[in-house]
Amino acid sequence: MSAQSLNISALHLGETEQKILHVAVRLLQEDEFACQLLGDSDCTGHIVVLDMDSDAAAETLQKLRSSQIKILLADEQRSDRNLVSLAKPVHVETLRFVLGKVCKQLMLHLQKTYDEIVQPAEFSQPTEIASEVNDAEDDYEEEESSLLLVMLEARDQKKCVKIEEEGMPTIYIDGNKSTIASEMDYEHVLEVGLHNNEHHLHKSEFGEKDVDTAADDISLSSLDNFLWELTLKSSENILPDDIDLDTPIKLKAWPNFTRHGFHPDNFKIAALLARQPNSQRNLIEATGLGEEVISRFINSCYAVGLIEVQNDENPVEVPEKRQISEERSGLFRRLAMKLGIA
Amino acid sequence: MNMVNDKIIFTGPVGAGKTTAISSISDTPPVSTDVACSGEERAIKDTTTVAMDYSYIELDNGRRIHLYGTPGQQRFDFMWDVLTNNGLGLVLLINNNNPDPVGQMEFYLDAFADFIRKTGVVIGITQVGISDNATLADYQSKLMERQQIYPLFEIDGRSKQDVRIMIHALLAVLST
Repeated sequence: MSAQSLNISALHLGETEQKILHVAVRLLQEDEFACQLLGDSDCTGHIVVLDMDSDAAAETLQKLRSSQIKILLADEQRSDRNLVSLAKPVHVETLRFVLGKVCKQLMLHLQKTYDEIVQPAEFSQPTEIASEVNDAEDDYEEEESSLLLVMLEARDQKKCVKIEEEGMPTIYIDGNKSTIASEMDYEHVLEVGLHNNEHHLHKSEFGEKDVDTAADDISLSSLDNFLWELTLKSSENILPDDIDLDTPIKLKAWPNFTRHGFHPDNFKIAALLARQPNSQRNLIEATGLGEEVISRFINSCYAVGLIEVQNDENPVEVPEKRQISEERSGLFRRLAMKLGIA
Repeated sequence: MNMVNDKIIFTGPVGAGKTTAISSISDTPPVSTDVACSGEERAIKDTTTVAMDYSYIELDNGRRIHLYGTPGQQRFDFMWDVLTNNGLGLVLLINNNNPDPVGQMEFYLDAFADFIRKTGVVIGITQVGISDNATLADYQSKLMERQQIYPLFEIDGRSKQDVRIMIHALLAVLST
């Protein structure tokens, strides 16, 4: 293996966290990060992702080399050398973001080592890479940011963050109160998120009181609502790695549809998934909606943690429509038309 | 066909915004009745009067969808069964400024459990963000704990669009 390929160990992770890690690593690989997941209980990775809720985790943590970068999934935040804590439940985008940052720093370190000794180096003695990562976090004002990733990170880590760009009103994100605020209206902030590549956004942390003060004079929106809509609109016609057309999925809760993101098709899908777990293929058949509509819905639910993959091996059946009379069905249709929502 | 059964029931505690929500989508201003009971309610005629809201939406074929707001006071809970009898579905409104609003949501979901099972429910939370009371996530967590996946919205009862979206979700639940 070349010195530039990074190994990631996954230790004591539950099934869901394993899947999240798999998706995050796959997305990083698609972004051309040279990284790979090691097999079960292989703890030799340059980066180790460890679930601290496991009984054996504390003991495992003690046995890891100090030079390994540890990403701990834990309810309590910890800080130490070469250690990054992520609050649970962790989401794909958060893990992808943090792994990406760590990988980037490690790559720089490896390249530096390579340049110095003019041959591929074994990454056996990395030095305080997490500190570099943390330093990089401190210097993050100098780096460009994705609005979606910053929002997910702020929400998951309950941080207060502001996003700035020259000539653009600041966007304040309060991960504690799950709000965003800006002098820009909601639609403009959404446009920024949707056309991220046209912007040069800079992120920095911010005091909660400052967010309150700033929010006095500017419009305030729900962060979750915004995340839902941004994900829905920016989602591509692909499903998460661990979901295929026939994977049964379950809705954990009714999605937090906003008045901005209201779309009648999503109500149909949500209503069906609320009744019973089902697959994308069956949902397409039951609703008559296009695959892209269903996958956008699933992706958005997945991004905000509302989809649970069912491990039942029994194939799920196409959900039957409720037995309602034609007369009542006509009544509903007329009511929807009357209210302008048909 | 019994057209009187074409009714949607709005329920929730006092001050949840039932009258406002009904008036935002109805064709006529709601009538807040304060009348003596009759018919099935005759048994209680001499002991109390019943306060409730009523209005309707007239469809393009002249048929009416009746909108009933239940009395908010729990002392009128005997009316709930009567009002919901053969109804289409339930709109539950909760004022987030009330003490223990999440508990109130549970109370009404339990009180109307049979009706909800037979039809469907949509939940609207009003006055969100005005106080430090529950967040929408708190309501959602409670529903998840109860293993109930019901449509849940933060709404402004004065907004026709908000109430229309709730009704749309209810129709989706009822027809899919």
